Parts: sequence; structure tokens; C-alpha cells
Amino acid sequence: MLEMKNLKMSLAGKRLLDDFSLTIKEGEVHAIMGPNGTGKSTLSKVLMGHPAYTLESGEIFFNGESLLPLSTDERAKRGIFLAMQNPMSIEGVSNSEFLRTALSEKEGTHIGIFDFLQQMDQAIKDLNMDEKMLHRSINQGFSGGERKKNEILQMKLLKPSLIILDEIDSGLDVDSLKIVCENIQKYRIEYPKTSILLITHYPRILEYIKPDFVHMMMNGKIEKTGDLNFALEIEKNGYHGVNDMSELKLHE
Amino acid sequence: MNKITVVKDKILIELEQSGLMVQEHTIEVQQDAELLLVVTDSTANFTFHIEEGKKLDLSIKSQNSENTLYYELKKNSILCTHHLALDCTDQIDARLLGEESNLEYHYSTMNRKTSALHMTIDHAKSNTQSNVQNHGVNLKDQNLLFDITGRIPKSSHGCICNQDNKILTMQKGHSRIEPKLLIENHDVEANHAAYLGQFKEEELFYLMSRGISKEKCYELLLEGFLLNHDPVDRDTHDWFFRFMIEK
Ligand SMILES: Nc1ncnc2c1ncn2[C@@H]1O[C@H](COP(=O)(O)OP(=O)(O)OP(=O)(O)O)[C@@H](O)[C@H]1O
Ligand SMILES: [Mg+2]
Repeated sequence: MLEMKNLKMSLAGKRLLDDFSLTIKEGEVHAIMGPNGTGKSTLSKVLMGHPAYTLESGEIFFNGESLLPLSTDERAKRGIFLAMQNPMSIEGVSNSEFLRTALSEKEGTHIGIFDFLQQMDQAIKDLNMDEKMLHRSINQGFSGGERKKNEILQMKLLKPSLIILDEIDSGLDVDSLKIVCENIQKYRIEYPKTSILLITHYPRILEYIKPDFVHMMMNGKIEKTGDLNFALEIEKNGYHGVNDMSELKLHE
Repeated sequence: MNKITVVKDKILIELEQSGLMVQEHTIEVQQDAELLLVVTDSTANFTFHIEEGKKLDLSIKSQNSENTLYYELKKNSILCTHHLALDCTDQIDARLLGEESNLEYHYSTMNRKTSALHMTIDHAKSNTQSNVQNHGVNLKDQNLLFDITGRIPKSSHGCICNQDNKILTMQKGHSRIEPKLLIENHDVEANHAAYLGQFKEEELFYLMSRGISKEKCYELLLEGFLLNHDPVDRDTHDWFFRFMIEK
């Protein structure tokens, strides 16, 4: 479904992706862990086609099609969804206007307010959100946790086949984390072909959303891969503790 | 709906309500009223007197015109204006002549030709309030100027004077904001925010990442910027935003 091959890119003189490769198959869940500032969010933006994050070299294929010539909205229309680490707030544009436009663009037809509200109603309840949020500006005055829930609300609405979750667990309290994860799990049961790339610092979320692979990203690439136990090991010993190579470097 | 239409300098007056008196270019508001003023391809000149304790809800739609608008607010009166302008140069003077009078003015403009807004808010009496929001989008390569003055003389106490002036420059045009607050009395609350710029790349990325095309994102962002939740009817909305895509 998603193939990233030998991705290279630098930002402000720092090499963030250095021969990065990873393949994600249909229905798989891949978790990426890695120290702050390694380039995990950068990778997610590269996948989504952020104009400021262009590759020096490498290739990305999604369902056999090269993503690189596609703009961000075209990638989204192909079924890629990025739940961002820090969702933007946008003054003046209401959530409902935004979501209804996104839905209309996806369906290729204008969605009336009534149809839209009907579709939203259940999703908002599922996430235990306040429906008043629909009439407020996008994420404006939303708490960190409310913003994260709003990302999942959008996911439910847009029905992607590849979901990238960039630290969806940060900023969520225990109950909200549970609700968000239950919603993601329900989505996976309903759409079993969905693949997930989940960026996190904590194994806790992986107990809800069981990963097939846990990757450790360092030095611009995946240094090691394991399963859920590997995530627990990282939590226990830290990134350097589980990585012999970087341990050597530290001792140099 | 009370309506005054000016097309190519010809004035048409349609009044449904008795509390509104129109003589020549002067409008007397003697009862709470709503009024729509539409000015197209004209040079228009109007004076509004809002009598004590009365409220005027005014909607202005103006295109390719030069307007001089003069507002006088008596004691306890309220003026609430949504002013939409396309390719206009406007001179707006509001005088808060009675205590506790209150002005809420939202001016939204787009221009392809060189355009300007010269606005003066004069807090002539104590405990008067003004809340002014001027948002402009300079679409092409011409000039857009906001020259906005708020004045509070020494004799006026307890006034509130807020200005929010913003211009987005979409292409190579020159935009300028000249905000002035002339405040001689210190027992007041005065704020002004001025912003010149373009849309933030991150905002565009966020919207596009939900599958919304770039053109549609601009529409959403411009709409948010220019209307900011102000209610407008479908016709007005379409009239205003059609300008954006016209050649
Ligand atoms: N637009 C940019 N311009 C310059 N430097 C950037 C830009 N975006 C990211 N960086 C830098 O690139 C590095 C990687 O950032 P990134 O956000 O991808 O890290 P991360 O792995 O997601 O970290 P965290 O775990 O803290 O979220 C950081 O050093 C960051 O400061
Ligand atoms: Mg990050």
C-alpha cells in the first residue's frame, strides 16, 4: 500500500531523512518511536506533501502510484490522512464550514447542511465532544485534547485508507485517550484494510492499537524494528540504551 | 426592508418604515431601523443622524464607487454597520456626539483597482464605545490603504476605542495601514491591532490535507477573514465573492 524508498532530505543544514525506507502493507499497523527532533513529524509532512518539506531524493508509492507529483489535497483524496501533532487554529473559518467543504470535495457533490449535520451527529457523540464546537472557528480556543479529538472526528468523516497519527496520544487525558483509541479500533474493524502509521513516545497507546511492527527512528532512518515488547524496552532503557550503534557513538 | 440604491449617481429610495426620514442626502433615524444601502458606479454622499436611544442596523454593499459617509450618534444610540466594498475609496467619519453611544463597524473590502479607506472615529463624549474591524484583501498589483484615526479628547472619560485593521496582499500590490490613536484622556481603553501579510502556509497545508483544493481553501480563508462569522444572506455572499474570481 505505501512504499517509501531511500528518502533523503535536510532542513536548515540538518539531515533529517537519510536513506529512509519503509513499506507498509494493507491492514498493518506500524509504530515509529524516536527521540525529539529526529524527524518523525517531518516524515509525516513529507508523506502529506507539505510544500516546505521536499525530498532531495527517494520515491514514495501509494497503491502503486508515485505520490511525489501530487499536491497535498490530491494525496488526501487518494485516502491518506494525517492527524497532526499540533493542529492549526484558523480564525474566522468555522469547523462546520470546513468539514462540510472537505466532505463535499471528497464526495464530489455539494453536501447540504442537513445531511452534513446528520453525518456529524453520531461521530461527535462517539468522541464525547460538544456539538457547539461545530460553530466555532477551527480549533480556536480548543484545548490540546479537544484538538486531537477534532483530528479523529475529521478522520471518521473522511474515511481514509492510510492514517498517519503524529502523537495523537499527547495532550489526551486517560479517558480521552481511551475514547480516541476505541474510535480508531472501531474504524479498523469497519474498514479492515486500513493501514496505520503511528508516531508516539509512549507504549501506552500501543496497548490499545496493537502494532505489527515497532520501529525506532534515529539518524534519519529506521535503526531497529521489533514488536510491542521492543516499545516497552525503549521506554525502560531509552533510545540510546537499545541502540548499540549509537551507544558506540556516544562513547567515542 | 428599507433600501437606498445608488446606481451611476441616480438615487432610488424604498422605505417601508416611518421612523426613517430621508431628505436629500441626510437620513434621520427616529426609530430603531434596518437599512440596506447599495452603491454602484457612483460618487455617493450621505449623512446619518441616529437619534437618542435609537439603533440603526446598516448594511452597505458598494462597488466601484467613492463614498463619503458621515455618522452622528446621539446619546445612548447604537450604529451597527456591515460594510462590504469592492474597488471603493471611502471616507467615513463617525462622531459619537452623545454619552453612551456605541459604534460597531465592520468594513470588508477587496480591490483590484487602487482603493482606500479613510476613517475617523471621534469620541466627542464620555462613556462612548467604538469597535472597528477593517479587513482588506488586495487581490492584484494595485494599492490599498487603510488610514484609520481614533480620537478621544481630554473631556471624554471612560471611552472604549478598539481598532482591528488587517490587509492581506495576494499578489504584488502595495498595501499600507496607517492607524492613529489620538488619545488625550487616560481613563480609556484603547486597542489597536494591525496586520499586513499573506495567508500562513501552515493554515493552507492544514486545510489542503483534508482534501480541499487550493482554490477552495483560499475561498474558505478569505471568507473567514472578510466575514468572520458576520451573517450575510446568500445573494450578498455571492455578489461579494464573485468579485474574487472575476477577471
Ligand atoms: N520548517 C523547518 N525549518 C527548519 N527546521 C525545521 C523545520 N521543521 C522541522 N525542523 C527541525 O527538524 C528537526 C526535526 O523536527 P521534527 O518535528 O520532525 O521532529 P520530531 O521527530 O517529530 O520530534 P518530536 O518528537 O519532538 O515531535 C527539528 O530539529 C526541527 O527543529
Ligand atoms: Mg513530532
